[in-house]
Amino acid sequence: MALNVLVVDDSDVIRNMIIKTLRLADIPVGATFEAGNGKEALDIVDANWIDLVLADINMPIMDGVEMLRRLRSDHRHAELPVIVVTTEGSSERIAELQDADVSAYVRKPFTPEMIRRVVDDVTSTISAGETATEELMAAFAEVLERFVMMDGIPAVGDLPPLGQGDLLQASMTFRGGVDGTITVAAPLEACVEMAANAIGTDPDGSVGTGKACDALGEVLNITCGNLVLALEPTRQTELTPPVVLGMDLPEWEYLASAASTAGFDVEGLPVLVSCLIRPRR
Amino acid sequence: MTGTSERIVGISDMFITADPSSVIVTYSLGSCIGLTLFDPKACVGGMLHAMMPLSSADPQKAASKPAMYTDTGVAALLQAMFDRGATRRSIVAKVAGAATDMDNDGLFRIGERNYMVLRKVLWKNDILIAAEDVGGSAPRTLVLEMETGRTFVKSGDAVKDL
Repeated sequence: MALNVLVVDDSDVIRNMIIKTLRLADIPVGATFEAGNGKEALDIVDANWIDLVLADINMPIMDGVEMLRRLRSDHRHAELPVIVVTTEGSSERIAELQDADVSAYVRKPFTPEMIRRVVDDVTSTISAGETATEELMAAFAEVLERFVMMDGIPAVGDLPPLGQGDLLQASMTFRGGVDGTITVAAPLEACVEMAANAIGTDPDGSVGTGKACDALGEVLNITCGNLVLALEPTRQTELTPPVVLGMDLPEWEYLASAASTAGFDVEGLPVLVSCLIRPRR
Repeated sequence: MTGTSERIVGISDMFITADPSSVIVTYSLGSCIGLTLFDPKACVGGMLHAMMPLSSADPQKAASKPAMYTDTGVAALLQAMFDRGATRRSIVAKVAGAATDMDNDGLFRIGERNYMVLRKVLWKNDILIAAEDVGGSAPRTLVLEMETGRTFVKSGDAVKDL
């Protein structure tokens, strides 16, 4: 499961350095967001799914301590991991941060390796959310069968081999009755087949990459709706639109090895479905 | 161990291999910097033992012996790894040496500067250091076992896995 990370610092250089470190450090980073002060950061946290925040203290408009206090006073963000990265190191300041329930603390100047260590420590505790694998597999198999008329069998042990073609992934988040993120990854070939089946045509030249991406996004969207309903039949959950992207082999392998991922054999092609649910209160 | 062959990397030298039976060793790392790169997917590994931080001190020498300087040495080792199929994403980099108290007056800070230049070149090449044993004053021996990728440092009687 990829983590959406928000980096809050008034220095563009520091933000760049932190983001590059996250990208290199074997930390599964999804989208990255940047804010130049605490107020911008709060706006981003309100409008997007964020799993981890790295924030400076001294910033114009709203400083990091105030930002942290406001996050903690909002029940939706009370548990959001926040790592403070700053030049300040007085014990008074650290006590203030601890009072505001900071997750971890790194003092500048830091090396990329120091950032990695702290982020590793913090993320090792957050990626342990609920996985709901059983409900997820049922939801996905039903969508395959009804919507794209394909047979998906949960892969016990090895997945079917991956061919040489391109790989696609679709991700979306949901919030409300249940909070979480869900990702489906499949070879382009499988997505072309999904699109062709849904439209009712042969998977020939008329089904291009655009339709294949759209089909994967829609399969994800419906799977997500299905899953959310199974987990929380009464309360409303809002779904964000799916985002479809290409993926490289290491990303595929990483997703395949995640505990929250279920593998499917979809008519001889490997498909991965991964879902992480934020623990419910 | 049987069937292994020890490959010794001298000062201002480097060695790259894809032979899993090789054990790469460099002795007497003082303020010099030792770097091992290992790609478990491509099964390629290499080691550098660089003496001085910057090749700008003697560009001609650096051209004929890039492993003498940390900046040209790290770049040469990386390039040799890439040439044998290693990728940035799977390279594991470990560092030893850069002892700080080697020159008596501490005037030149060779160890610190070697380490800083090494960090800069790796960072610009999108590689983070996975483990390190640097600084202090004791000389070190650095070993990379190609079969497993195990990397360790010997200093006096102590052995430390990186």
